[in-house]
Amino acid sequence: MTPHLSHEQLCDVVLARSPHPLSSDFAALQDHLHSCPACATELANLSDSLSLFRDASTAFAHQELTNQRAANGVRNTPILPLRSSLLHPAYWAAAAATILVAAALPLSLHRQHPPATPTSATVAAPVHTTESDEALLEDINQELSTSIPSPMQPLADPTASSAADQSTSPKRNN
Amino acid sequence: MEPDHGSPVVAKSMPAHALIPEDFVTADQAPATPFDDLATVVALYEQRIFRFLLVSIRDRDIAQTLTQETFLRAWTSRANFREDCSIATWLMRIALNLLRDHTRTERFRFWKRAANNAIDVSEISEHIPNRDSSTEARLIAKDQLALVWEAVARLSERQRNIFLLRFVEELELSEISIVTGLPVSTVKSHLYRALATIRARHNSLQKDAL
Repeated sequence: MTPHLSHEQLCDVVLARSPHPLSSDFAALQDHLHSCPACATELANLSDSLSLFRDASTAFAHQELTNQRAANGVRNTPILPLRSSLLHPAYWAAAAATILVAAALPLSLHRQHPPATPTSATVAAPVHTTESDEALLEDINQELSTSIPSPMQPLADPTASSAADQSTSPKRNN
Repeated sequence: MEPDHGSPVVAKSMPAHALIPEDFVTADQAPATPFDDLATVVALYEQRIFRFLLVSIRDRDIAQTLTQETFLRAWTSRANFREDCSIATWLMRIALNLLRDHTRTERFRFWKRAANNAIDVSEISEHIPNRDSSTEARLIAKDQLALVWEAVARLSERQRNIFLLRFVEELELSEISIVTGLPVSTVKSHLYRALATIRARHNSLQKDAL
């Protein structure tokens, strides 16, 4: 055996693994640990650190979990939330029924209220619109019935007005 | 009185998120497994799963999410549980796979988030048990804890997981082999290396102290 335990031997002791506690190798390791303070201290330090790490981690995780449970208690969210309804056949039946109703409803409404005929639309037209249309047509008819379009009308006698003026104006007495 | 079929199954003293809606289990589903009673399984093993994930990933929110996901996965795949290993081992295997998936698929976001939300060693130090009331002993214990905490963070992902499974969860090497899917000899090698890292940190700390 070497003066001190090898790393693997020390690890085996830490792991409480091989050699088997009843084997002669195990007895030799124990003997060495009893007789070698350096290896015993090394083993104690390592075991103590690992134990400390485990205890602190456990206490910390326990505290964190307690806090989270308190928070979850308020929130009340289950691990298996709404998937149950997704698995249930009634869910799919309800979903299919909803889709069918949604598709059928517009069709039935369409049949109950057929589109209005063009005649009724004409009848329903506002009265003032009809009157204005008739007035416009009347104007057009009058325009067309005129024998001579207004642009082709003969010009009025420009002297007529001056003659009239002369006749109406007082005669100059020379 | 008629039972209320719309309300979830309530087990006394169960955490709220462990409740299972009563209509979740359908009649045509497979034979009974221990995971059919999920509330009991959660009550028994949540602490261990959460602890492993918390110390491994060092983020409360992610650890909580992955813990819940672990039990959900266990429940949905409960037909695959052959009882050739313990419930704890099976759950731990699911948790480890989820952890691995999470850190690999969201590696960038994970490290970014971990840097922001990482649990500091001082938070852990507050939970050191009062084995010795002397101030000096507590300071030494804090140093020892910080040493292991930082050393574990420096381990590779596989070494860290195996280390935690052995020294925090106290699984046997054969159980770690089942959880990780690695041979026992490989598990042992990883533990040797992890312990070598911690011993090296120990020695450097002692040299600094001298």
